[in-house]
Amino acid sequence: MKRILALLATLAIFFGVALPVGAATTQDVTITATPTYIALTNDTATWAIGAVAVNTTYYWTADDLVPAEPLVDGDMKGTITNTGSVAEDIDIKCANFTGGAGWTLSADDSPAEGEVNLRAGITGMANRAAMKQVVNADVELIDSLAASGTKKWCMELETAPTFADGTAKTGVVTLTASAAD
Amino acid sequence: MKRFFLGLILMGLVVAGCANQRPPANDDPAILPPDDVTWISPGKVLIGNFYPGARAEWNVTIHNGNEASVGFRVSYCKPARVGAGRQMVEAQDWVIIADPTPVLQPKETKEILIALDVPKGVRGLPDKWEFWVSAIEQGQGMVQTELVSRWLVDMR
Repeated sequence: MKRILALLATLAIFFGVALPVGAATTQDVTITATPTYIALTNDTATWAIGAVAVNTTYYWTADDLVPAEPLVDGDMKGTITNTGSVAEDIDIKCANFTGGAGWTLSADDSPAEGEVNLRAGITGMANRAAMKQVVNADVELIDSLAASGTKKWCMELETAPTFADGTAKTGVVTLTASAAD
Repeated sequence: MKRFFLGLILMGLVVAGCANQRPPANDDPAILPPDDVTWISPGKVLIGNFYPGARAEWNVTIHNGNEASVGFRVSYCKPARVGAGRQMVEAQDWVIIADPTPVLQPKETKEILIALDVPKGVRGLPDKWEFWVSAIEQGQGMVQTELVSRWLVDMR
């Protein structure tokens, strides 16, 4: 019995000394998170263009017409509000349009057959040329929008010189909010 | 001899208990966000001293601010950009999301366990890298919103 107790005591001392080392090994990875939350609202989420013609630009603006330059609040269509607790970067992307032959997103201002040119702008941009080319991957639309801050925005869509079919197309635009650096 | 083994088992349990790394709950009432807004929290998670073979877990909290129940899609997301000094790493295979398609009742808040589990043999990871976890409400209109939690990883 004495020997068992002595052995237990030895083991207890051993583990007592070894425990912090063991804990350090397993707990070496640290995880830190500040209690912030990310939220975003966009007040206008639809754009039903209807029938479109080839080689034509359509505007998602307040009056569906070409916006004035520089871009001003009155011409914008939607309002993005940072409803989170910290400054946020807002990115934009669009999935390829589905329906019939579908459309991919053009990487430039000259959409070919099977492509569409989609661009997005915000109040304050100097001109339409400064609007962001919207593609499948995230592109920054708004840099560091303060908590409770708002920004008005618009889009324009340019069709290709020819269509492969007459089937209706549907595209989904995504606004992504992430904590700014 | 029985007591000896019993002692060993007890000490093993003590050691195992000390090594547990469960994340603390984010339930401080002082920082609770509004009820009528859909949000994700935290905005940033910093993992320090990470190494291949290690596993880091943290809960991402999602709140449904709508008056109706909503299905969400929670997924790994390639960053649009990374913080200063960080690199982008294709980490999709290493990110485990406990519930990638939660359905939240009106005003419900739910914690989703996210685990970063990089296999031991992985080599060549940069010192600092980043990946994102995103949550998207299903059934939004033509313009949908996506909320991101940034995960910043510092290697040992």
